[in-house]
Amino acid sequence: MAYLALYRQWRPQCFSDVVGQGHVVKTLKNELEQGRIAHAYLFYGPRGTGKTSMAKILAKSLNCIHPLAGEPCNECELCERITKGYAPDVMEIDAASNRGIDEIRELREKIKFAPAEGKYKVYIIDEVHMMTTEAFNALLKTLEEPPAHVVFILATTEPHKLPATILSRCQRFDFHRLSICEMTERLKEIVSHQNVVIDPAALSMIARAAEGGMRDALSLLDQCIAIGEGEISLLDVEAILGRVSETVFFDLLQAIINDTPRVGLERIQQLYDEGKDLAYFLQGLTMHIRNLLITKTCQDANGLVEGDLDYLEHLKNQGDALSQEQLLQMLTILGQARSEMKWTMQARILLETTFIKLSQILQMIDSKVLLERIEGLEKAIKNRPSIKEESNNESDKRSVLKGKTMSSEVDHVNLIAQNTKHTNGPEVLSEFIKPEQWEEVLRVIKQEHILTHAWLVEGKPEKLEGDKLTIVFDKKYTFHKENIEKPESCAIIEKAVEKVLHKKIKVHSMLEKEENTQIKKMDVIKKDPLVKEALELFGGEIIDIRHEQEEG
Amino acid sequence: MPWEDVIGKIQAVKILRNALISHHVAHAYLLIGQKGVGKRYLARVFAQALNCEESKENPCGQCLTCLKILQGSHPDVITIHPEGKTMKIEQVRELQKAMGYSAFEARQRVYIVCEVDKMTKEAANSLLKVLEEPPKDVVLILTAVQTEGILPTILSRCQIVSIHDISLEVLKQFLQRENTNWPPEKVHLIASLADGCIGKAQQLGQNESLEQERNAYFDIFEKIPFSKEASLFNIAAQWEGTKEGLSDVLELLCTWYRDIMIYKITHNGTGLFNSDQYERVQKAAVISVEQCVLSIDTIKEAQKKLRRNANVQLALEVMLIQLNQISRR
Repeated sequence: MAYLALYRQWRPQCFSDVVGQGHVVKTLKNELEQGRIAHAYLFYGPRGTGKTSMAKILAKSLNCIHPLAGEPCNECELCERITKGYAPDVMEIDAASNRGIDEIRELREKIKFAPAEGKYKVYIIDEVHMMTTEAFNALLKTLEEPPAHVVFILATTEPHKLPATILSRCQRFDFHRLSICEMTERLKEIVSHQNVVIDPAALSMIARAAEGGMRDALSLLDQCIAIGEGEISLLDVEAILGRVSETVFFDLLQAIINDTPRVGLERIQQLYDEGKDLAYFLQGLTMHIRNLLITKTCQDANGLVEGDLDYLEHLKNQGDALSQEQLLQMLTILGQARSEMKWTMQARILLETTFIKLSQILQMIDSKVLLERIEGLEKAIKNRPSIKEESNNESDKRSVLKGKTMSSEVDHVNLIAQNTKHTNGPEVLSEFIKPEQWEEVLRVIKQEHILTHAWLVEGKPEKLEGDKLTIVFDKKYTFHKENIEKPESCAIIEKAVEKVLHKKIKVHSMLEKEENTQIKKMDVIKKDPLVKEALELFGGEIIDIRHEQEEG
Repeated sequence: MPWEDVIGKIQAVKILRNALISHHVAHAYLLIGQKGVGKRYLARVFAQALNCEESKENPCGQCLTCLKILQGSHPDVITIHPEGKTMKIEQVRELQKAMGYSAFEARQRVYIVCEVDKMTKEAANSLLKVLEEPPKDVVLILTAVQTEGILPTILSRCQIVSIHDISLEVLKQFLQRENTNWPPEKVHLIASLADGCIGKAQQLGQNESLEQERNAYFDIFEKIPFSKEASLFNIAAQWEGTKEGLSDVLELLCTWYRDIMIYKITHNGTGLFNSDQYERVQKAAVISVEQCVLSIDTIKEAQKKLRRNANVQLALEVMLIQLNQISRR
């Protein structure tokens, strides 16, 4: 008799055998006891959680001659036949191979015939997600109202691939991944029947590696039993899984921290010579950095990180040398490397360059440090005297020319002259309102008079010269400008500015193109002989033209 | 004895042999290992062990059954390959059908399904049921380069046996034994170039003009940083003509920058792939480690583009110009 894999030997045969999935078992048993049996069930969940087994148990319970409180007896003829897969009334259909509309039509042809021996005809449609759209649609009517003697059980790992019309016709049961605890319990029970001794640590390693799938765990256990010769140690399991021991990861990270890439590269060489699986290794390194990150960010990492206290302590110590951001960057780089690992033919080179990239992270300046430096600079700039004050001081020294001393017949102007070397344009002399200050002004106005705020929002403060605040509007906002020019609006704005800037000002508003007229004026003034002479004398530049009555 | 002829793969051999000895042969195995590492050979040896007329654990390799299996002409030991780029559902259906009949002469029928990672989704799903509960006398052996891209539902039904790359020393011993007339330098070179793959080593060993070809390539590699655009375009045109060999050229180029990087860090020639090019590497090591990493990334990018059927000429030109610019920074 050929050997039967553990997961086939130990398929649960009654509800109480099923590990985990208590919520499913309870509902189904109650339904059976109360006779409220639905005509269509959908079992979905990750691989190895017991969907197909549960379907078979349900089929047995439905047809069993002597059911006990919902459980099948597993002794009667019918139960036995179903277990062996001979029962004519329990059809197990592989929907992945028989996925077309023709197979469904055939099923519909036969479904009306009464069961041959049991009470129910049970159709177990496994891997149902692989059916074609046409097949699904052809099934809809039957699935909604099958003959009274029919129960459908659909099972799949990918329920999102089923059309909503199928989902809504079934009672759905969500199968959960098994917890490590549940799995180790079951594994222990099975091991006790196998004539082998197994290290508890090895057992929990198997449970962890299975990632919630009982079948995965049993496949692994099978392999361990085959290799372990009666005794299974943690090392056997590690060897089968191709896992690398934790110390390697610590060593590698330490090489990065100490900036000794040579040590790290030698370690990689060693792994390679030992014939370790480099893809697994990359996965392990990712996990290690993840653990570092968790011990660093969480006060109590127990439960989030698997391992004893020594290990956690070790992690914490190593994590102290790295910033959270560096760790996150490392994870990003490793993520890229893992996706490249899928196709690369030169895994070793990939691993080596990845290691070098990880080392480089530590040499890069942390963005936190960079931010601090920028903040420092910003503070320094804030504390400096504003440009206006500064230029005032300078111009004091160089004597400022004001229009009152020099007047012309054409236009009474103020000339603010300055050394040409220093001037780049009119902006230097005028003071700007900082955006945050302007925002504050707008906020104050909004509280005061919301309408004014609405008008003012469209304008932007162009410059503040002496006590004159120029607000510029786009051409299309003529209406806004006109409203701002009204004395009552002006008063509100002036008050608000005074509150924020502690400065008395006068509001002057203009449309964008008005600036052009200013330039024209400038041209006229430049031609004035008196101004010309003044310019020659002082070597300055005309910046602004102000009428005397405005000044006064 | 076939088991002894399996090179390296100590762990995998141990798993399979122990399964035979302890009568724990599972109905489905998945052999994972890189291309050319010898997965199919191992699968055949296992099939021999299951069916050998002489012995139940150690196949003799001499009997008719063993010979038939090794040559692939045994009616009950069937190997399936992807047809074209992928393995289709029809192939799996045929396999299911074949399994339904009884054996011609074997104790254990063995189906070797190669490159499962290249199965279409439909094919993979339709394999599930038969993979879980095949007929009693059937053992399925699947092979794949990696577990990525294989359905978790397939993985959980198989015993996964990973076949590690063959270590340098073992490969060297093997090559020396097979080719007693080779000088040790050649053995070392080919073993390190093969990168753990026995198939690659054999292929390289058959190439008579290997050395000249390599030197010609390294002559070009050396010049990349100093070349003008026009000559870079010439190189691209030349490489474009090599077609099938192109991926090998790019891999070689990758090892070139990798060797420079390793040399920059270790300052000696022990860990180099291209141990015969030590002097060139020394000379080229004026660029920084960062530049090496960037260069390797650039080459990888080009490889990726080529896999996705990009314009070969353009991809090569862009890569070469980038490599040139990187080394000038």
